Amino acid sequence: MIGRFAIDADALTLPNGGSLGARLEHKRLAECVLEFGLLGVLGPNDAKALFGAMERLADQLGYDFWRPLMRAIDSSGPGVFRARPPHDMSVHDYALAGDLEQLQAVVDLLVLGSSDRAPGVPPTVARALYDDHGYASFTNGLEVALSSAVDQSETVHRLKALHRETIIPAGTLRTAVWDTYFRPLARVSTEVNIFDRFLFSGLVKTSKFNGNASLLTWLLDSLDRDLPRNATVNLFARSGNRVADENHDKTAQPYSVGDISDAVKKSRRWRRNGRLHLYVDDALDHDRHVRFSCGHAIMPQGGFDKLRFREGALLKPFSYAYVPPGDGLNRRADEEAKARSRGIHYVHRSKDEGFVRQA
Amino acid sequence: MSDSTRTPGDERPISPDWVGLDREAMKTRQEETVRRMREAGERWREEQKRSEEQLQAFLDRHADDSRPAEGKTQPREAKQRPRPQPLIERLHVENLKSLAGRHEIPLAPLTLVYGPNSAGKSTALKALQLFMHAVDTGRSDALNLWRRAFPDVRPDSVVTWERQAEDTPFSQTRTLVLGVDYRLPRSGDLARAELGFQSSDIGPWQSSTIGLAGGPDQARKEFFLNFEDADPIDRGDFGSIGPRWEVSEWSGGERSEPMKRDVDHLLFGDADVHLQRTLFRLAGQLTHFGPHRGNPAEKYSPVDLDDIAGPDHWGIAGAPRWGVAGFEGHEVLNQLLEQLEIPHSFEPTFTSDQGGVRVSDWILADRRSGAPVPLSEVGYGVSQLLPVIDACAHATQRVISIEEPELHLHPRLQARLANLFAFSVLRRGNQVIVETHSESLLLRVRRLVRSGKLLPDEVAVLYIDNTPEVGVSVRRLRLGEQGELLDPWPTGFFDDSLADVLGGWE
Repeated sequence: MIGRFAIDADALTLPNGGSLGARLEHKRLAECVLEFGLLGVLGPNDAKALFGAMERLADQLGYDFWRPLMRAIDSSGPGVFRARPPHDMSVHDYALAGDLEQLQAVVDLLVLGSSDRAPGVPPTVARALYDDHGYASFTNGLEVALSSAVDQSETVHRLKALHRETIIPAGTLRTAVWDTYFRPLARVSTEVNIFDRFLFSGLVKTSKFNGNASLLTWLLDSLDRDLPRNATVNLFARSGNRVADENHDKTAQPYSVGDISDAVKKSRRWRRNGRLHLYVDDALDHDRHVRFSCGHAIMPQGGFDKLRFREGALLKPFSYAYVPPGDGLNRRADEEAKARSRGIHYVHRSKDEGFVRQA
Repeated sequence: MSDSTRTPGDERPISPDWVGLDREAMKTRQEETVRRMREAGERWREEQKRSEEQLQAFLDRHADDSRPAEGKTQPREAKQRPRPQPLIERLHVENLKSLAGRHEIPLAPLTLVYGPNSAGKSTALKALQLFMHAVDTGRSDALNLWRRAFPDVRPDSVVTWERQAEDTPFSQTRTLVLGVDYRLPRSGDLARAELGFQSSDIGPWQSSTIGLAGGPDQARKEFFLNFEDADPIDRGDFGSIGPRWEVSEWSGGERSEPMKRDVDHLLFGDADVHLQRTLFRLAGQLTHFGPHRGNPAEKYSPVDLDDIAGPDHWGIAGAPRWGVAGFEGHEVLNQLLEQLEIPHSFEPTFTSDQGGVRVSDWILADRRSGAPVPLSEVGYGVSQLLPVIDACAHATQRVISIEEPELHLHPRLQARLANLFAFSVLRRGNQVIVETHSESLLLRVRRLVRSGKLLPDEVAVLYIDNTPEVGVSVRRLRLGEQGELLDPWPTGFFDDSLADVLGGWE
């Protein structure tokens, strides 16, 4: 749902001395970064190069265009991500060295300057980039674009479509669901908040259903694969008694926290001891969401229990709403804060110890 | 020969015929003077050496290199220092000015309070100040608690008013409640103390509660000044009988019969002495700085910190002191001025005394030129900041609350204030609560978290908002291990700068 943007410091120049066209080009670039992604900083040298370019730009324009923008997006939490581990070379260094492939693991869209042609770019890519379109697919997963054509790039078009289309069609492969909708947010977040009062309804056993924790297992496995090291996952849900009470099947048996621990145990990947928190609150708000600390959230229209797969493919269409940074996201964070203060807090110590209640 | 030329112990009688000077006596006295000068010089050298040793010991224990050599990264913390604990964990405010309803405000060793103007940020700091002042003054005179706690204002002018129906016979403010959750030394348990107040036409009512937080045994006392019971008729020889306080105590859920009192020295009744003593001590350890710290005088007067220093967990209580003789205090201040890149320092002036030289005064000097400058002539921002630096540097185990420390300061210096506050928290064991609008300050704090100097839990970023739909809300925006904000920043604050950058094109 968001892209990782990196900018060659060379792209932050105004060759025409700050003409209206050039300034509009920068405005469009800034808006694209804000709306569809995160601005990547590879390391201290990259930050230095960006700041240097901003200084020059400020001299040319007479006012500081980019730095307040970066400060603004950085201050509000989301907006900027730092590569881990940090790179010694800046984006500009990689461009000069003709070694852009090195960036494909951390960048989706690379914005290059148009004044000099980057070496090492294959001729077909160079022709598309500099002569025909202003953007081109460099390698699988890495797109390059000139600053004037960022809003036309495939990456931005794809992100626009994802923000617009709010139904994941039935039959979509489980891996595609994760990779398209959740992974882009998870890989740049240090905290994920899964808020759904019926999150564990699969654990409720009835006379006809023996319980199934595969959704939780899948979520944790997927998150563990893509979240950065030291990231935390918070689960917000109702207690088993409350969920069982509201089940239309009178034979429904409530689940316990121990049952949730058992479900975590089934996850093959999850090894982040102490990084999984559970807040049990019976007064949990009706609306569900998954909020990523990078500043974006996905709100399923139904519960997460609607994410059902058969033979690895989505059984029914899954509707969602995308929540960008803003008032809506704040309200979701407020609901989490309420649940944190009201609910019972458990921390998952280890697969052996399970969830342990906190004072 | 006069007596003035006689050496001590000289018992020889003075001749009544003297017309000349006594060479022998003069020589003896000269030798005595030289001996005393040598001894004084020796003492001064010893004192200087002792002072140097004290400073060295202080540096060995408490200082580390903030300027690593070129090309080298800052070494990680070599010493295992105790992590700071907040002296006050939570502040309770109910119906104080704009903070209508009950609010529980979490605090950390370093708390930054943000929010739009008139939302209630200053009121939160004011609540802490009022509570501590009320405890400090009410501990010896419980009946006059609120009258003395609000010496300049009518209490009911700061309490949120309850809108009454037209036919209600008396006007009524809501009940004002102020309180804290504070940590007990040694055990680390949390205790809770609250004071309540209500003013109405039938007489003021106040209450006090103290006990372990969440514990069943809460000692509660209620005080009611019964105007209705007062006899308005003059009783001749006995004089008029005015309203008297009725005091009742709660114990185990039972309320005692109200007792008439003219004086009460026990604010919290017979509650646990340890809880009371810790709270009273805490109440005397709050240093509050308003947004304006007075017009600068010619000479800087140090912040008046009393001698109460907390338990010496930090090993520094009493080490750096103001005063003419010791220079640790001034050197710590000079060091902080230098690290904040303020181009002024306190320089000693020397006078000769008893054959030696001593420091007679410290004057402010411009480091660039070396010229002495009166405080009133340095930049206004510096004069406003000096008391803050002073308190952060010299207070130990205190609560320091500061309103808008960034006023009159360049953004770069605003950022460095974060280093100063971190120093005060980490090295002095203080709890620092800052009401601010400074983005630079927050960015630097986040950087300090990212670099591992501060832990995320040691910083509370609070956002106080006041909207017509929700009313006043206090949100804690959590920080992650990389200093990132885990919760979104409420809109309409820093976003404004972004709007300025992107706007104006249409």
